[in-house]
Amino acid sequence: MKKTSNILITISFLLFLLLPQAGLLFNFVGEGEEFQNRKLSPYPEISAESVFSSSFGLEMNSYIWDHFPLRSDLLKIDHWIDYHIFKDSPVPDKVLIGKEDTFFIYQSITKYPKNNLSSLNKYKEIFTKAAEIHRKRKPKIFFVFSPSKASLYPEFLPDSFKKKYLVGDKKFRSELEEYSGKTKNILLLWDAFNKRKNELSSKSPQTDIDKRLRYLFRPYDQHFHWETAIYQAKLIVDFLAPGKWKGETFNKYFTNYKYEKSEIEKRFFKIDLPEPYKEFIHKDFFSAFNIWQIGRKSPNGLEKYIEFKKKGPEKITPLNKNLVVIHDSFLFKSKYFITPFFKRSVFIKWKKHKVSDFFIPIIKNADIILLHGFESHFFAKLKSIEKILDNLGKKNSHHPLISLYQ
Amino acid sequence: MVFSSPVFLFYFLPIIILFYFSTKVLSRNNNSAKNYVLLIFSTIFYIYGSGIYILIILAVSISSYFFGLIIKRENINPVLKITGLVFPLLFLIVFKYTNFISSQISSLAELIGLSEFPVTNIMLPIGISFYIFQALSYVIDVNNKNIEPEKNYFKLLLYISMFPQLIAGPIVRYKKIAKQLHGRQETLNDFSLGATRFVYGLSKKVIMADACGIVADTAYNTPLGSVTAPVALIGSLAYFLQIYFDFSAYSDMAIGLGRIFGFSFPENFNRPYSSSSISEFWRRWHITLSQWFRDYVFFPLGGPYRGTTRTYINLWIVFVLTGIWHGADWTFLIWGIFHGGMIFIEKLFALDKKRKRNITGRFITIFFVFISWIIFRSNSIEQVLVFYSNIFYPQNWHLSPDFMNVLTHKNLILMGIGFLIVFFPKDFVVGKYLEKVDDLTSVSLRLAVITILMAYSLFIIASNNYSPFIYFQF
Repeated sequence: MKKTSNILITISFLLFLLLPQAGLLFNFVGEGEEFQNRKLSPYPEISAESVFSSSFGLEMNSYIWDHFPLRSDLLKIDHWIDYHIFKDSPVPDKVLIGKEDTFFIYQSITKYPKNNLSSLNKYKEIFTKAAEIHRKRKPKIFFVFSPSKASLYPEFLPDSFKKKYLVGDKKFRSELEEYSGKTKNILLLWDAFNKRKNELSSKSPQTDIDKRLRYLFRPYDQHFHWETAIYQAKLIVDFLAPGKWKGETFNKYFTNYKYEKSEIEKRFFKIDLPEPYKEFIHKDFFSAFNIWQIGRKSPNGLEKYIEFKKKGPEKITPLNKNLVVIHDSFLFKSKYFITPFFKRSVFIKWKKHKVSDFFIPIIKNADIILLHGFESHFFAKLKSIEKILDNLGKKNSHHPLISLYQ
Repeated sequence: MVFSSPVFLFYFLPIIILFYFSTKVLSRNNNSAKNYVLLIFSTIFYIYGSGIYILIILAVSISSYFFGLIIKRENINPVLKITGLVFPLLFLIVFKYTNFISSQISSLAELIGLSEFPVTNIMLPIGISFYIFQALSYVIDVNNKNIEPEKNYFKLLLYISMFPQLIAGPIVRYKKIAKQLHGRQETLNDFSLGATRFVYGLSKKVIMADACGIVADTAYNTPLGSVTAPVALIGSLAYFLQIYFDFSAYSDMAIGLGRIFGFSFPENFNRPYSSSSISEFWRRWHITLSQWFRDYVFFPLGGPYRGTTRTYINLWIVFVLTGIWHGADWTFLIWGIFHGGMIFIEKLFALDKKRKRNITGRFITIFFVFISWIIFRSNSIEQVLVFYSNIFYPQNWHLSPDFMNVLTHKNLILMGIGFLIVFFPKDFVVGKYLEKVDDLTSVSLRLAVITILMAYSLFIIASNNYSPFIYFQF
């Protein structure tokens, strides 16, 4: 019995050591950067200097950690155990699981409200500068703040987080509201969204999907449902072009709701977390509203933007204006429903809270500039916004894309 | 190279096992050939983690080898003898203590208005305290004629640099493994027991120690102004568990690896948190270090044989040295003095004898060990005071989001299991129980436990939730 036991233990131990390597034989290589949602460590350079300074060892450790075979599969199992067995977030520093399995992005609750508060003076400085430009000359500059999941649904936060979060968040919002009351170019969406939240919560859900759709946000993500995105577009169009909104029929350009992989699953958890989701049928939408869409890249290929033009017979009479929107992911879905109301619209996504100089001439040639941001990390964009405002006062330089607006 | 890292587990270890046992077969169990394989891999192991600092190991091993040969001779110049003993210590002083000494002189110079004194920034070579102590024990033992000097330099080099115990012990005496260096037999039973021990160690590290470690690290990295009672208390309890599971895990892995390659390393832990007195604690915690100080400091100073006062002074000297062996900082010094003080009180009132196998004694001992770990873990004396004031005079019970966030169900459950293990009956040792019995049920159970531990450790390692072993820094 002892010999059998020794043989079995030895074999299982050797299998343990060789399992990841055996994965190579069956082509179980790591799923790479897309799966990890980050840049993986490169293979280190070998030189006498790197070996003797021990930097080679450190870099090699990172490389092997990122690339060893079966890693992605093992990681999925570890996350599954954390979530289903221990009922924990597998990435607690990134995703917080609140009440009723509602997910929040951890930093947007803990770090960002503090940063917003400490940036209040900078906010006011920027708004004053923008209001000055807004009053005096073209283009007109507007700001839009999208509310976060935590500020609309604090009741789903764990109690210990709620208290801490609400104090900082409420103070920041009240200061912002007080300031926006003095100017006409800041749109805060909290009140409208809260009203919408109350309307939705008064409905009685029939199905599991209905239950999930009683909320403005996706259950396993910090972003909106399509319905909320359309609602946000309505609020923005009402703000920029009062009385123009005629978007009641947009809902028909979607498939029915079905369960799909959640955004959190794709980005962090790597475990099966289906959520109600429907596809937007772009083609039918653009064809119905006579919109011509061009996706472009900046010369360095890093920044992308999308331009929409209205053409042909008008289904919705647009404003004869060029709109430039610099936005983050919270306007990603809403943008389609803004485009029918403008002659031309360009949507530039903040890249790490910055906008490349490449876009400055495009921005300068707009009639309306909309600077959009998710409330939790708008503070991070202030420096870039200041740069844009400074550039608006300067003369145009030649830019190949200026012709778009002429 | 950390034992719980993929590079060690899935590359280094399988490769050395392959080379070592292939050499054993091909060379018909030639001991020198096997030793050379171990030596080459140990060198790669150290260079991989510490680069150029391999030269320190070479210098120390060469000096120990030559002084070992010279010291043995009669009529040797006493200066040469002392040089042989002091030479390895110089490396320890230069690489471990220069930064601290220069920063203290600089602060003092600033205080009395003298010109600025430069503060050095020397990197601490990994494991220096361990291999220097091994080299010193060799030279002292040769000098005391307890052992014969090693005539083959490479065998001595292997003794000092053998990768399983190179960077965090156990501190092995030459006489314990001299026979094994000259001839050993690896068996299937040894391999199986070594692998089992290694897996226990690995799981203790990645499952238990790292779960406690993230809680402790978050607490001790909290800005002093934001430390509250629960942060100080839970963080310190987590560290109390972490340091035991982390360090004993490394020893388990080292002993297990040694056994796989046919070596029998000494035990380093024996359920230290079940001790009934601080004296007993030091007979169960980091046993090889305690024995080193007992044999090479306490007894040479006169031990318990020169009267009561002198015994107490000797004990205190040992614990001050034990403190600063762990690191060059005031906190380590105070920690050493604290333990010396506790043992002084125990001896003075014969408490260690009264409390033998006494449950009250266990709780009192655990309490004092617990509060001493706060000194040990703190980054400054100010932090020690902040933690003590929050634990013993709690006023603010608020939990910060960052701290709440690490108090996951998993971490709390594992900490609970950790306390259960610590408070198990004194003689209850799961590993030994599983190793001893040999019927079908226990064999199946053993295999199931090992498989589950290996699998779960593997999942955790894949998710990269690891930290280096605590004792690497010493």
